[in-house]
Amino acid sequence: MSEAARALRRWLCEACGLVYDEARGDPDSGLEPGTRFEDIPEDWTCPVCGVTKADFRPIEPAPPRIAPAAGAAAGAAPAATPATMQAGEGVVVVGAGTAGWAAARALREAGWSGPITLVTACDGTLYPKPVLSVALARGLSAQALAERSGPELAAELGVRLLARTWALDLDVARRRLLTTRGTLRASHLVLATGARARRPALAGAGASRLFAVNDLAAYARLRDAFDAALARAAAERRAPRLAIVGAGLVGCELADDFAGAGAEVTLLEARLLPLAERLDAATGARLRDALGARGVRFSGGAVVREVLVPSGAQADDAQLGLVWEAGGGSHAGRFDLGLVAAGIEPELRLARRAGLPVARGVVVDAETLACADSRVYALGDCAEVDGRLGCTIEPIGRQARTIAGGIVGRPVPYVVRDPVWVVKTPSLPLTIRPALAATAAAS
Amino acid sequence: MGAIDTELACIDPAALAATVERELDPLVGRIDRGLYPAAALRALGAQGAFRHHLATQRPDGRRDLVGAIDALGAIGRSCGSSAFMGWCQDACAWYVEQGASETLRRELLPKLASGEVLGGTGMSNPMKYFASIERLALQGTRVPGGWRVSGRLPWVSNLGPDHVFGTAFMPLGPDGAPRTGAGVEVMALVRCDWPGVTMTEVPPFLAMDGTGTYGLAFDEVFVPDDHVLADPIGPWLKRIRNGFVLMQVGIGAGIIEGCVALMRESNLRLGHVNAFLEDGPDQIEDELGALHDRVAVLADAVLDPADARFAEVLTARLMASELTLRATQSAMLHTGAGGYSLASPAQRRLREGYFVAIVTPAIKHLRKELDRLMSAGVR
Repeated sequence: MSEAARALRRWLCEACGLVYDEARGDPDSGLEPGTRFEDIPEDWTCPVCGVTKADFRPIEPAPPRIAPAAGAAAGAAPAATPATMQAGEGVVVVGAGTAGWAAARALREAGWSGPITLVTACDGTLYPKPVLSVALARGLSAQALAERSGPELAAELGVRLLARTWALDLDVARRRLLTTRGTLRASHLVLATGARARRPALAGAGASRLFAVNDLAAYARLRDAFDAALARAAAERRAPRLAIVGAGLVGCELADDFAGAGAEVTLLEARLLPLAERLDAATGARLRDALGARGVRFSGGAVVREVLVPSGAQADDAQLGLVWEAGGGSHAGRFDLGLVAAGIEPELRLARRAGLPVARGVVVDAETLACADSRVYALGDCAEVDGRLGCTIEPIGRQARTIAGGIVGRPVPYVVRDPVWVVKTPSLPLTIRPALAATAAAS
Repeated sequence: MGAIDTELACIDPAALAATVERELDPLVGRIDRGLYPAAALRALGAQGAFRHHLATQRPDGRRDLVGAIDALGAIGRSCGSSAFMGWCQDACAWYVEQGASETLRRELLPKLASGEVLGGTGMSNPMKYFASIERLALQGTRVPGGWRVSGRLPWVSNLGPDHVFGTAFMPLGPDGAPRTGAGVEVMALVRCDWPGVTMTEVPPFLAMDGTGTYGLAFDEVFVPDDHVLADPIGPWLKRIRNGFVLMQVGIGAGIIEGCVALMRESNLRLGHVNAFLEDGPDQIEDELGALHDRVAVLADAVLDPADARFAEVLTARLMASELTLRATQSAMLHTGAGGYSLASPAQRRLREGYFVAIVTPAIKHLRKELDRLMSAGVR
């Protein structure tokens, strides 16, 4: 047995960072523990981002980590600054989500030895974002989702990390980035500003109590509130009541995840079926029924009229009341916790301030991913390629390699692929592969 | 219509430049070392330098914030101290024009606009208080017909025995407890010659000693209701804050222009070595032009109370500070040992430049406030 166990390996999804561990298998996809990667059917796809087996690579056993001694010699330091470069110049990456870190890593892998500065308003923690909506089922706390701390990753990649720093303004012509910690000069800029959760304007004093989750910090707050809701419900000998407004991808996934964790979930959606934007009616109905079997109360055609602060709610708890109309009638409910899942919108403030072309996202060249200025690039959720927004994790690694290739002068033309949507609803797992939309005329 | 023609002529840039050359240039070194140039400031006021942004004080009834900024720039090109005092004057008049007191608008504002009365702004402490950096220094209790105000303000500039200034205090209830809530403070205009106001000399500064800067002690100072500019201060503050901050860009712009001139002059002789310096005059001038364009756009919406607009204003102000520091350092490096002489304007520019980056809102204050606004989701 021990011989066989030693031979088992782990495989990394290059697109999203998911690790397939042969020892554990992938029970959700019907792969028993001990299933070797070679033995996985070829039509299997990454349970997180939907890429195929070809995008996985084996993880070599990690070499033992040697912590550098205090005041370690320069030999251990990351790539040195070329003497010809003006002080402070180098690549500046704005944003430390999946895209920002992918860009920094791709630059190092492409041989960029100059300085890289990563500017981010968050603390720079790297985490697998698609897992946010399935964390409960996997028994993961918000803290456990953090894969690497910002400083740790920065040290590995030789990146100067400016965490908790806001990029205020970008002077494209002079390639100067004004931040809340000083002005940076850059030879190249990479915008990885991501997206933020959309918050529809809802009436009522309780509207600000609705959670909207698009990053780890917001998810951690949601989980804290859910823990409080669990405690309150347990004291009253009932299940915690959760309202989710919006049954798109994230709304459905979170509804399934929280229902699986024992919550009584009400899922409100303006359209008649869940995921109506992406699913045909028959599949949408199947998803609705599968969620229903899980205990999710789906209300289609629902329009939220008001969000109330219920009597007895404390200033620091998340309880709220919802009033909505559906099916020709008016409904009301009291919930321990509510969240709104209305999609995301690209964070474009900096690009707009810089005067870069912006449509729905930062408009980049489909082959080079450069903005109008050839030394400014954008990738990930903030970028609009070929008239389309990314919004999935799969393209990010390839986009990072294209940008790194452009910066080091060895072009890696980007190829627009069909987006693949993996709906991580264990009640009814779905993979959506829409045909490429006709090439948009918009640009 | 002769009167109107005269007044319009008063805000002619060439006339202003001539006044600066005649009244200010000969005094610049002495102002740096402590001379308060009251006569020069009054002459600039008479020239119309301080009325550009005051729609109610112009014959055409138009508000020209860019004109105010450019006038401060013309003054600052010669003397950073005087540009700062000009800004104090502009800000004080701005408080009154936007304030609630009909009496002050009628009786005092024309005199502030013309420079007949000189005014300061005791808003450094309140601005830092509103950014959660300091406690509010003054407190007032309600009495018949007004307020009794006590406390100490460490530095208020552009003051003299017969000057006025604006400042804010925290109103205390009968039980001595401060009012609670956001923006509940009271804004008032105070006269230096009121009983209970004591002006004390402050230790010398690194530069700009002639700015009429005093420490102020308030001992039960009676502030009549007709000198209250805003109670509560909240909505008024949102109206004046963009103008307050944007007009400061003029101080920096003037110093930067002065530095560009110094660099160009130096390049006549030392251009072959100065070519190895960063931030040459063309580059600095180019960036100043871009900043001016940005400020002109923001000036069109100066009364916009939105936080998003204020964030843009703070960003422009931050750029002005950073560019001033680069320009003054570069002027010093361009002029070399000659600029290091106490007889040279380059070293004075360097010291003035630090002031732009330090005066409220300082660079660190701007970054902290922008961090707060961004973190609160202001876009």
